[in-house]
Amino acid sequence: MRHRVSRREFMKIAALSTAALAVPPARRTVAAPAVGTLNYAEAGDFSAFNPWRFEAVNTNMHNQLFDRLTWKDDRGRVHLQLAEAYEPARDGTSARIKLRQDAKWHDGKPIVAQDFVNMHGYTKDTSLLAKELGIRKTRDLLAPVKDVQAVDQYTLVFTFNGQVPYFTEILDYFWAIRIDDPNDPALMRKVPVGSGPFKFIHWVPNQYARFVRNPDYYVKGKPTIDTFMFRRLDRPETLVANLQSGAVHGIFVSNPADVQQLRADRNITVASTPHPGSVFPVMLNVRKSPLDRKQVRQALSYAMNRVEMAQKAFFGVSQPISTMFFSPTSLGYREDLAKAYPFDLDRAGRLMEEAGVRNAEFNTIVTPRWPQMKLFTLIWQADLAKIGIKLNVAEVEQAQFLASGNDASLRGLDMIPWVVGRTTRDPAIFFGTQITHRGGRTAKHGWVNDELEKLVAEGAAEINTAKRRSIYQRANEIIVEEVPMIHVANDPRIWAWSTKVKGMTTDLVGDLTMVDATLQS
Amino acid sequence: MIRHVLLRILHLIPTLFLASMVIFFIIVKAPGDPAQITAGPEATPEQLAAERARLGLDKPLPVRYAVWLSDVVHLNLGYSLLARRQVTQMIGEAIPQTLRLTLASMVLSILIGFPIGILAAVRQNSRLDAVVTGLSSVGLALPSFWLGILLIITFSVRFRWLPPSGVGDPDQGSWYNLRYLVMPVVTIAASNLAVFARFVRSAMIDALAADYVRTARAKGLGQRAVVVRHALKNAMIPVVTILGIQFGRLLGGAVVTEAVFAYSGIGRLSVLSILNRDYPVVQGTLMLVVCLFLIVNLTVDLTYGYLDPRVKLEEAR
Repeated sequence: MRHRVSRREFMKIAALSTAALAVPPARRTVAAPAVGTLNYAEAGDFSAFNPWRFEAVNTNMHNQLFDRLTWKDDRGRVHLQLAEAYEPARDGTSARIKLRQDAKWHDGKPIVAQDFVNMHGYTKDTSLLAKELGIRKTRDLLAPVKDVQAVDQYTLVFTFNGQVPYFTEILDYFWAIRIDDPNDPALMRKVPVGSGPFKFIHWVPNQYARFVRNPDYYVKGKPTIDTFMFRRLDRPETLVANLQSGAVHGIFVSNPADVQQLRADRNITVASTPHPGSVFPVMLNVRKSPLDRKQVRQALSYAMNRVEMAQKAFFGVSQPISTMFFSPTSLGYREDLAKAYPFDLDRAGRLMEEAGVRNAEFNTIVTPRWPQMKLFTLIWQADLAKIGIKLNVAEVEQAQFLASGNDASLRGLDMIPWVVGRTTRDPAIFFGTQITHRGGRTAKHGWVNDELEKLVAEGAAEINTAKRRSIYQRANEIIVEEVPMIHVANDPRIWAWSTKVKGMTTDLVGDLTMVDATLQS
Repeated sequence: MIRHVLLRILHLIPTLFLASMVIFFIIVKAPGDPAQITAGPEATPEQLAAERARLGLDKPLPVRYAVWLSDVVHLNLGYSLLARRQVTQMIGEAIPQTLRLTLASMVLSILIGFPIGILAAVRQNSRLDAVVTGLSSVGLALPSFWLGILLIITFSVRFRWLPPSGVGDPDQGSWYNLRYLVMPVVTIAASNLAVFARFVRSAMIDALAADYVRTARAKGLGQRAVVVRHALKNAMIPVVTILGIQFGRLLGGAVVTEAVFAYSGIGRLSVLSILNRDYPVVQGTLMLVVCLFLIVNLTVDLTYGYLDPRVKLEEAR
């Protein structure tokens, strides 16, 4: 039954409507960031709280608890942190650093020059070196640093063994730490004392670590969030469910296969590092025939459909690459080398014929730890079969995989996909730490190139940037031409966040920085 | 009786010794090197050698076994290679979680599985029997990882009623943390109660067909008295056996369920340490599991005597 509106009712509605229009609308304000608890989850558990021990399971904790003298952002720009200013000597053999005077350790003690002298001392302490892998790793990276001296309470002088043109790269590794208990260099038994935006409160193994806002942090008003709960989950498969259920605000995505599902969720934002330092190469056992022939190695590279792999094995999050220096931020970058070896099965077949190799058969392994490896290897396997090359792929667990990959003869296998980091670091750091990419003393799988060794030595001591660029571009060319390993794709670090979280950033190597993060109510 | 129990305990010693050898040598001989896991893929040969020395892996195997066994006898399970914490402490944190999960799921399984098994047996070949048999087949066939993920998608992602994983927050109350237990318990109970229902049904059908039950009915006893007092007690022997096996298995860790729900129990600890070749943790947890299994078996054996007086007579002879 229709209801007729009477004249009186009509007037009432009209009056109310007019009044409603006359009242100014409530002023829309941008919601202020809520100070609260941000829950973040990753797979695995902490193996150390000492940032000198950079391991994938720990690295996203580093920037929350610890600061450095200077740091590099995700575009490679240097920012001051505990250093107020730095001045390298003209001859490149030393550098003077002025510390900021308002920085404190989490226990309230001021951070002074002597602390850095002590830290350098850790790298020479044989007892600590025997106990802690992190000290050994950092010692190797700080090897060019001959001495660290405190000129006064807030002034440091670094003296180098020779000319060190990549000084800021070294500072980027120099996390400010304090080993108060020599029996606990991993900082696992007692609460680690850092200087970063968050203070460590407690850790429940396999569950979470609780970090709270450092009220004495020298950047006023930062961090914005009160508590950063770093939750640890056993299985990476459960990360997405935790985010979608609202149990956590952010996750580290360890399987790119999840990205599509996450992007489809309008309550979630997917973020990744623009210039990831990690890449996936396939190490070739050049001691074995026919991989001792360059044409065969090049043929295998041409038979790799990297574009298809980037889409189907890396789900569109990785970039296909032919060299480790794929990023324009690297001194060794050359555009032509980054795009070398386009997919060309005919050419691959011709190269195999020129090498006199027919019906080749190769054996390799992959591991569930990196599901991308299996996928791209299977794509490669199918393409190689088209030119009469048989690739046998076996899946093994992580421990066996690492043991084979680290074995000097790759345990008799012909090739193993691998993960290599620090490609966006200064090439001197890259070649100094990545034994997979050079010969000489550290040659792991038999490939040695004298010219490359010479270039690596020259590049580490040359202070003219243009000359260094030329040196490392040539080194890049040698590796691309000789193909001791086949580069496949880069490995960006990926996060998924609730849309309530803003302001997360990463440093050069893609480690999370939550100092500017906000949580919307 | 006490002598019998003591003898049974003495028999456990050679079993434990053999188990210790198998546990030690199998894991040590498995491919993979803990030093490579702790040092990572970038480690240089020098770093690896130093890490092996730090972890004590450079000593001969028999020496390592002798040292480990001596420590185990003194209840010192050593330090985790990765976490650098005492293994006893790590096990001590995991055991209460596993006990909670095991007991809750066993209670739920028994409370549901036993009555429906008895009902199905009493009403054999009825519709109810068909439903119970069918559902228990489904319960047995459901993989726990699948059921676990299904529960997470439904109750955590879709309805947001329950937390998807973890064991809770020690700072919160136990009522709050109980929410974390619901889905893992249901996942484990689903298959367990199916096992119990089938075993109880089968044992009860045999018992109900026995002469003593016919005699009891002939004496004019009511259905309840026949089923509960006569048939059920006698049907319990095979059921107690399976109960013991399931209980021991769960105490060893519901590996898949704990992994799906990131539940920090013994199963999760064992699997992670096996994958990481964390020898002291693997050896410690496996020794514990062996001990628990042996204790449960012993308890089950002793229960037979209570359930069936003939077992006592056999012992007396």
